[in-house]
Amino acid sequence: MDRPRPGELTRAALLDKLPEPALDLDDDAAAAGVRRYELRRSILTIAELDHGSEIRIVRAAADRLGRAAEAEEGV
Amino acid sequence: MTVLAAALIAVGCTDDGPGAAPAPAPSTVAVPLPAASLAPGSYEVLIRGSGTELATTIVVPSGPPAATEPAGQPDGSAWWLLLVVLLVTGGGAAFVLARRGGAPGGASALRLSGGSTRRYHELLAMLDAGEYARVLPELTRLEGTLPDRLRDDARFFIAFAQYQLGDLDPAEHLLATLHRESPDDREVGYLLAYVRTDRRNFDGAAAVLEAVERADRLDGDRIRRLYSVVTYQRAAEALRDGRVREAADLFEKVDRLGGLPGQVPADLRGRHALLGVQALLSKETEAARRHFQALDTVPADAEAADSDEIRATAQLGLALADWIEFGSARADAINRHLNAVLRNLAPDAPTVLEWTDPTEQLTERLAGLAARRAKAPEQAERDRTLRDVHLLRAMLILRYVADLDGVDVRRRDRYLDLTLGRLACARELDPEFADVYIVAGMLGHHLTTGPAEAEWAAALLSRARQLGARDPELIRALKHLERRAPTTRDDVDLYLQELDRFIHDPVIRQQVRHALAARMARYGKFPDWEVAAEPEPERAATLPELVDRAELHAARLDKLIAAAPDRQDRANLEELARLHDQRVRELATLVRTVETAEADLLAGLGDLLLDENGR
Repeated sequence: MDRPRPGELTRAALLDKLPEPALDLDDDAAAAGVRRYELRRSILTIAELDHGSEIRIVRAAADRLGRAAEAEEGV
Repeated sequence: MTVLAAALIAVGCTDDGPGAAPAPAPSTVAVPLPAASLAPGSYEVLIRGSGTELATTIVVPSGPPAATEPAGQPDGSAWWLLLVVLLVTGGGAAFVLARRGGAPGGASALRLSGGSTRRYHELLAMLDAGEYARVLPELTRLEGTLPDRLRDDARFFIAFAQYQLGDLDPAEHLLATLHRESPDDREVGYLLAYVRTDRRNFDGAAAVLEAVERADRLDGDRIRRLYSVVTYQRAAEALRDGRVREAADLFEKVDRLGGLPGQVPADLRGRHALLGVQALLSKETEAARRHFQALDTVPADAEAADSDEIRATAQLGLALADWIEFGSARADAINRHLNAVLRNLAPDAPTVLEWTDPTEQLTERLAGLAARRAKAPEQAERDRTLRDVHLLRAMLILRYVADLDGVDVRRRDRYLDLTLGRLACARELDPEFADVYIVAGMLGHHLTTGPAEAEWAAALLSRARQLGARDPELIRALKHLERRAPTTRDDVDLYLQELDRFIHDPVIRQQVRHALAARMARYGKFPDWEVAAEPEPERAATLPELVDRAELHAARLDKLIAAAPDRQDRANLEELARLHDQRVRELATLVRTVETAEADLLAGLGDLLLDENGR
């Protein structure tokens, strides 16, 4: 293929006019798929911690701690 | 004669005449002749094709023939000769021109350049200026008349203009043709893959880029970046569809291509991390441990920052595998893994802070929110991870305590302090994180012994509620605490707190907020900007929220109403409170009626549409 003339439009120069390709994961189920598999975004999900479970764990721990306090008062 | 037709010469046309024998299924070759290279005069033309020759004559006159001058010709002196050759057998034809009368040089091969080529270059200049709509039709017409060496470029430029004008089907079709003809052409491959990426046909784009890769022409940042984007999108689709191993391969490829530096989350870089998460999600803890232990063996050539990230992911995965199989015997290991995550991600950050009661006002909250929103995305991501790790560390103590047969009373306060100290670290990173207030407030609720502690716990649970927590047990605890809170507090103070809660409740409409603030303006309690700072709610309050709010109002305000000194005022307020309570109850009843009516409707439709034979 002939070399382009000086200053003449080349394919490469034309491609430079295109916006740089970028990831497009917004509003996409694929984005949710990726997030689910990102360990750091899934800490609480994997640990099954939500408001309900946190409240249950607190209740169970408080039960033990409360008994300890009662025992102390009893002593 | 296999070549039947004559040459039609646009000027001084000498042809075999329209009466020449018709050619079966003739093919037509139109060849623009560069008049500028031909001096006026008469030329003998020899057309060679399919093993035969046809001799004819053309005459180049001394003046330009306006009738045959192509549109857009900039200069009347450059004119064309159009030679149309009809070939029966197809195949190529060669043109040899010799100047009759003994032109200098005798017969010579004719180079095809001149007017059309010049116009072509002018069109390229317009294309460069972005005049796609003007260029496209003319370039499309001109392309067939160009010499071969320019035609592929011209078709590429046509496809580019089509893409820019949104004609995606013809652009992709033309590029696919060019790609088939030259599979290792990097620029054609790039543009075709780019168009397909734009159309979210990532597999199609990948097929093109793989061909370029096979031809070892994947050099250059631009094409590597596109290939990385396409591969990442395919990996994301694979994850969405549960094809985790395929996704792991693709993410590894993204990392290898290197076109998205810093954009691939650390957790996705490496198959062990992904497969480890998959194992955790399906509670296959042994498999998860194997993957995260393998990940923890950082390659020797990894950069320091990378190895910290990889170790953090590995340690987090190991902590979560133990967390899933929790028992007090595993608590030490979990604690060790979580501390290792902190060391790798934030070696200088505190691992425990003193718990202080939230006292910040709206202005401080807004300033804090603005600062957090201004964080770089990577920093925000990191802070959220650390926040969750600190919450996990706090909950670890509580799970450990809950799992004990008995708690040594001498360690009781130590457990509580440590829990609150770890929660304080999470709150430091994200003061809007409701979970922190829920855990601290519920601990207060269960362990409180006096009105002051009840007030402390109520403030924390109120804050959690303000941040969106709606768990029924939390609401019950809050009502209970409200009743236990000290009665000696100043009534005005209690009232203003309630007013503040209502104004800043995220489900209250702006219109209602503004109207209330306007009525209270004469007391100077709510500056306009403070009310305006609250956004319009994204949704209306749900029925359970309305019921909860009404009950909390009743718990808090009844005693204020009862304390009203004027009997008539008190009666009026009691009536308003009664009406409010009644309306909420009616609303709840109405919702139940609507549900029943909906069920009746479905049952009735079922009677109409279904029979008893199973249809």
